[in-house]
Amino acid sequence: MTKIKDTATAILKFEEAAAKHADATEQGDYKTANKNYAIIVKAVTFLKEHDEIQKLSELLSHSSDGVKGWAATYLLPLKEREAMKALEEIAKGSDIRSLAAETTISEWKKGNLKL
Amino acid sequence: MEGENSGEDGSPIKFGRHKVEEKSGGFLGAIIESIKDAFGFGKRMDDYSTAEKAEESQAFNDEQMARMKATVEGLHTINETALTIVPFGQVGYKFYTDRSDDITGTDFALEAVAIIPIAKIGKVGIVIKSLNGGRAVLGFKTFNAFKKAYGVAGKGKTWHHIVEQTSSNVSKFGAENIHNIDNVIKIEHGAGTLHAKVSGYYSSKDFFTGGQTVRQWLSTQSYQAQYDFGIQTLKKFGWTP
Repeated sequence: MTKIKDTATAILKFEEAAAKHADATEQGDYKTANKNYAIIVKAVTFLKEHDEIQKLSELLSHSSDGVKGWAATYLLPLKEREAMKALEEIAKGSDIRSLAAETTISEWKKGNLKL
Repeated sequence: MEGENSGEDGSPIKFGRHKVEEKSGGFLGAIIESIKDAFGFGKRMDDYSTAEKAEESQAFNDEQMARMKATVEGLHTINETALTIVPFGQVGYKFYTDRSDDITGTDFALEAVAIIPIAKIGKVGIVIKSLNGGRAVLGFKTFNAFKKAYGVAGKGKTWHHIVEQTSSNVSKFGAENIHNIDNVIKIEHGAGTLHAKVSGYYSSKDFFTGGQTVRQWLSTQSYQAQYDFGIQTLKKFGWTP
């Protein structure tokens, strides 16, 4: 993966990787899922280093529950209300993203999530 | 075994009728023998010195046998626990039970099953109180022992542990709580199947796992939490109980 040089690229990489992660997870393709997880982490690291993590807010209404869920997860420390709302919406679904969202909410409330 | 002895009047007296019944009873007879041998439940009277004694012996033995049969046959009607447990007697497992547990509806079954002392294979299966729901189930020390008892999953299927059989889980919860029929289920196996999806998911990293795989994250959870998550995962991938 090429080095992320600006915020727009970081958001784009985050969005693409989060969508692919969700698709791969749904198929049980953990190798692809984890490869894209690594890209998500790199994008988040860049955004944090540049104090731009709040820019993930624009992805909270994304059509992919994977993108929405990853964005909401990393926004929990900053924008808890909006992030929780997004996760709660995902949790209403019937696929594996809904369980992930439900578990994320639970872990956050317990103080177990380190983001 | 059918046998005969001489009565007071010298006429042959048949005895051991129940032995014949036991053999014709097959598995049931084997259990009865085991119970009798272990605890003296169903003692025999074998005094055939006189016709009167022989008759008394026969009546005594018949009554004892009836009691034992009622006990074992009762296992088949008490509840599903008994139906699960009893068939294992024939392959020679030794069962134990924790009598301090009050397992509603199964005490009688457990009491009877716990005294089946056939030890050809050794202590590989024990009666436990399931950590999921509390019913009595057979727990095994190894997955191989479980499969030996329950057989192969069948074509296109595999046995799947809901709470995974990781060394950590076995160490924390005990092998018997991992390898039992409340925690091991049959599901479809192969590329693109439920088993592949669930296994793949457990190897992936997700929102809540903090950089660990789902499997690693799960290993920090309680038995019940792992079980509930395992069931939810199965359902989200389309499993119906």
